[in-house]
Amino acid sequence: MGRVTTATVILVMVVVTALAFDFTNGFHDTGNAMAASIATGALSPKTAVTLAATLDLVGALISVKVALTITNAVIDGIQMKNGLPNPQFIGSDNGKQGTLLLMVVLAGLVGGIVWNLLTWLLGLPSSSSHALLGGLVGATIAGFGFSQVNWLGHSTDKLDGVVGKVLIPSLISPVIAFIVAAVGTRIVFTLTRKMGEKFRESRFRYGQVGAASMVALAHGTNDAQKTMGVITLALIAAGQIDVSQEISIPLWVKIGAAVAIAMGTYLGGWRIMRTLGKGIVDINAPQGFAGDTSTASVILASSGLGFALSTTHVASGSIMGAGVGRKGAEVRWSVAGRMASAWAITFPAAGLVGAIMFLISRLMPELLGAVVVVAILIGVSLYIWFRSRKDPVDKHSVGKDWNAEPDAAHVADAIPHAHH
Amino acid sequence: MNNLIVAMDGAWKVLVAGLLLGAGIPTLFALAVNGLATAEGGEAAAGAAPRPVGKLVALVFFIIILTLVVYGLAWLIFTSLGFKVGFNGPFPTFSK
Repeated sequence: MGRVTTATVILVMVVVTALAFDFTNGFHDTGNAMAASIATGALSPKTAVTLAATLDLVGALISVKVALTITNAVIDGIQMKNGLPNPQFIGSDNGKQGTLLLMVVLAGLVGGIVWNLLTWLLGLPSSSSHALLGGLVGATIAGFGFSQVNWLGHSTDKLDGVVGKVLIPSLISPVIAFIVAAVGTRIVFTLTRKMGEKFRESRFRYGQVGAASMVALAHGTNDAQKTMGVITLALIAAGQIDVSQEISIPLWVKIGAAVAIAMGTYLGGWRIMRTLGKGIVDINAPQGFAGDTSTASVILASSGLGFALSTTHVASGSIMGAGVGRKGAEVRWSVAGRMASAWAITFPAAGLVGAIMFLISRLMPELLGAVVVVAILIGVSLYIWFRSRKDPVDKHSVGKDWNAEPDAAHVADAIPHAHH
Repeated sequence: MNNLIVAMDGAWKVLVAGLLLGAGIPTLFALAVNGLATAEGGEAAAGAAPRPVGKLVALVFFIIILTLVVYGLAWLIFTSLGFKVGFNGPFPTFSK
């Protein structure tokens, strides 16, 4: 040792990129917990993001759920059953440390980040884990071909493969959440129909804050684990972790990922929160409460039953259900439809970016390839950020009436195939 | 095909559990707030006179909700910390 190898330099880039992905995951998902509370005025935007970020941090730090085998659900043979990288993918073209695997992970992460940023720009909630898995699968296809992808899964008693881990959950989660929230909302309005509007509104806001906090905590225990798993995989590939003993996630990885996701959450994905809280349907406190309770219940029930669902899809389905559950509410189905299209293309789109990044990196020596891929990521990120400045959404405008904002229509028009 | 069977099997369980909690808790909360409105009377309760018994009703429902929330939190925190959570009668048990 003592000499800085190519693998070490690429490893550093992978770690930083993974933390950047975790950060985008944070602000992409703030709305899942807090959009409804902000929309109904139960919490001020500032208080909401502070609460969500704190609970995310706590959730990420207490959770010991092992995400070491992150790629196994969708990719064959990159990792072995116990989470160790397959020796075949350790070692680069010239037989040094595991730079090939590092490049796949790097390209996959870039795919996930680019898709997260693009959907954020368009104000569309989409699943960060699907973006990450999509990016990794795309990079894998580019590197090793289609046969390396675990499409249908191998397990007989668990959801597995691209179909079981990505496709089926994204179809089922919003439907379940929709039903639960619609039933809950209908019951609440039936039971409180004689109550004064002002009284009802003020009391249900308290309940809403409780339910939203539960969602934020549950989110923390789940999502940061994926980044921790990716970083640990990269550390193993680069030979930085002794694999002769039982592998555990290093403490600095844990703290780094927890802090990154919490910082992202605190930044607040205002554009996405606006769509969730104001764009799909106008909700009041009882609806927000029923929606958030539905989200928390469905997420806890699904993880308790070992049937993991995407928080984003559950939260979006809940808000639609809460909208429909109230008689006379108008759901903007066009917004819901655009959201559903974004879900459908998240996996392949992130995969495409991941594949392109990997192919670009192969055109040059590995170290230069990694630098170029990271440079492209920074360039794309800056471009998207500048684009977002044209019609900014922040904590002051997040709760504005949907139709009152001329820019909302502009944002919607920017989404391809949105026209009827 | 396995995925589809596993998915359907899991989906209805999540739906049932989700409905029990996700529609059950709003029901309990609505009943509790109803109790508060009854106790308050006037504008809160369609012009009816205040009936203090509403406070007791509200208290009972809030205690039930709080118990469920504490169970939920305990489950979330302890499974995250790597414990197995089970039940011994109404009392949760935690084991590594």
